[in-house]
Amino acid sequence: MQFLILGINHQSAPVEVRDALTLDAVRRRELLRRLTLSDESCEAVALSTCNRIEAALCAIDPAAAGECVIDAFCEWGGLERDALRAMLYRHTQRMAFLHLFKVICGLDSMALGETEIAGQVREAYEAALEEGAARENLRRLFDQAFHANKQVRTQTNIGKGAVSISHMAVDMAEQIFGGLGQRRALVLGAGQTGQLTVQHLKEHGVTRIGVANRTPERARALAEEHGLEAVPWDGFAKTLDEVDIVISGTSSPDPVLTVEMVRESMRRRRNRQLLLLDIAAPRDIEAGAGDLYNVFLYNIDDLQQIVDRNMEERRGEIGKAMRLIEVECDAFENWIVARDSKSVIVELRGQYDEIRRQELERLRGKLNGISAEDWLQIEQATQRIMNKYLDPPTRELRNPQGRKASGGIVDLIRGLFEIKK
Amino acid sequence: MISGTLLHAIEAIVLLGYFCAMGGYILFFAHQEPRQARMASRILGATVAIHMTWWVLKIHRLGYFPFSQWADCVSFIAFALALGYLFIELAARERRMGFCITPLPFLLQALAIHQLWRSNLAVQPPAELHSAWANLHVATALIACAAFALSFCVSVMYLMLSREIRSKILGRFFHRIPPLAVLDEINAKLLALGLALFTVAVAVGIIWEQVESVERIPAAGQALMMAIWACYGVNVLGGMKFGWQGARMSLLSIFNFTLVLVAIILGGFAGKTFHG
Repeated sequence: MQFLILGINHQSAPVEVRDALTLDAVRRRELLRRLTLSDESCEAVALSTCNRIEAALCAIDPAAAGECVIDAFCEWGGLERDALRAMLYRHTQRMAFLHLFKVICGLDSMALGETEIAGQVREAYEAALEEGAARENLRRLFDQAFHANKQVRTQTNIGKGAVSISHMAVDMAEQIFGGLGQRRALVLGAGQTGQLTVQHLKEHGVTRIGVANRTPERARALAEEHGLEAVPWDGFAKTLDEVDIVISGTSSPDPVLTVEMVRESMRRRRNRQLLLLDIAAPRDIEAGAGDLYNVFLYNIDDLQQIVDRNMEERRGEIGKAMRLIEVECDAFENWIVARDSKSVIVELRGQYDEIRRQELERLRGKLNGISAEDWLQIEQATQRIMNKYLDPPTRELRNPQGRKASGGIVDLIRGLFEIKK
Repeated sequence: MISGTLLHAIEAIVLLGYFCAMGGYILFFAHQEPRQARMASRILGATVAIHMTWWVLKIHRLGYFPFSQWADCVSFIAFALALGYLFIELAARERRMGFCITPLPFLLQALAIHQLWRSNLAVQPPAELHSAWANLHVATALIACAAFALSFCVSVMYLMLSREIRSKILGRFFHRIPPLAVLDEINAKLLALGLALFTVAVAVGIIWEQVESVERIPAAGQALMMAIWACYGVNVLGGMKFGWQGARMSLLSIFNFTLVLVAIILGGFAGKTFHG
């Protein structure tokens, strides 16, 4: 059985192709069924995220299984085989293990070290288990992958610190206010980063979010789209008294929030903490607002600097993470060799025992009148001879260091003793 | 009969427990490994239970509350601090404050042991110090002192984190200290509790003085106590009435606790009086 991983990701294929090949539950089930129907021994897990679509396969003939995946991708994406092949990456055996471990640890992600991918891989794996498409080999491979992820997450800082402005904004809000469930936010403008931040705030429990825009229709549309409250532009200064977080991302050439407005609001709100996030260029909030008591002001450059530093720190952890992944890969390869060698030992001993029995039967016909006790002695002697002959290869097969050092020892012994795979 | 050796052995175990708990919380601060914090919490919980047992045994042996000894009072503050911290940890579900707070019970217990192991249990304090008024006065004052000490630690953490967030260079404390709002809330509650207990202690002290005609605290001491009470009053009132929060509250709390320390040190110099 050989392992193969093939697929596309954000580095190899444009977003349109990735979108076209996205595997929903129906497609995923269909792909797994096609693979198991074409080859009963084939095991498969199909992973689909916004940045990658790939299949992890374990089959006697991985090339045929790979073609089956390509057929399905071409059909669903309306792509030419050659065009798809140009975008596909393929990894076999150790390279496939390394790839999967890197994916699950977020080392192959667009946002280095992201944690969501592990959940998505688990979801794909559980779907394959449900379909009966992941059996002994892939089960073991994915268990090892989850273990690798745990090791990397606990022993390195690869996932520490936010690496996007929107995440950093939410991180900052959490470090100031704690749980965000009871907090209120106000969004000024309708930029993309602002919308992303709103998305993250909602994911972190903020339910009361107001949106104000110079164009009331735009504010209403945004409010409807994201389930927010539309706030009239003229009245947002008053709303300031009730909110805890302000995200400003308008395209106004002049500041929309002045020091005086914030000072007045702080007086009315009895100095309750206020986080101002200015993600506009040019600035929306006067810098002096950040000097006011209990006001925390971060502009886009401040956030970007923190994000860059976090990213730099994560990059510095790649080497350490890769060393841990290599160890996990070795452990998985050891398991494969141990599994193979176990079957070879059983086969080898069975083969020799058969020969021994045949020869004993032949001898029994020639030795008439031999006592049962003598016959037992002869049987035991042949058993001991066989054991002594088979002891060196058995020891070699059982010794993980020996197996590793001599590379294809299992195949060599299979060849020498004519043991079928 | 409970032997002095047994009490000393328990004192040493308590000191070791506080040390291990402190180590666990500092390790958690450094490595952010939740397992270490859980272990530190358990050690601290067990140590507080042992410390409580020590108090029960000591009271049983002496037959009165041993608040007349300076070392016992210090040990009681250590106990109240550790117990108070555990309560905060459970109520706020926050283990990130331990690194800053747990060194206090350890240091106080070490200080207490240094004195306790040299003290003579057979020496009886004056009879008026055995009265219920005396016990209530001292116990409330010491618990108030522990609450102010906790508030001091929380304030220091607030200022460290707030400073880091304002500097916009996130480093050692971001994520390693509870959120500012959480610290603020804990601080406000500790200050209110401390002030309430301190008020009770002062009131009980005045009543005790009237009822049993015991020696009055010197005028300078009275003035200092009233100054501390007024400062903490401003601290609490400012938060409730004028919406003082965050850095302002923390700075005031630190200033006020410094006054408390000054009062304790001056009380030590006062010599043979009750408060000395």
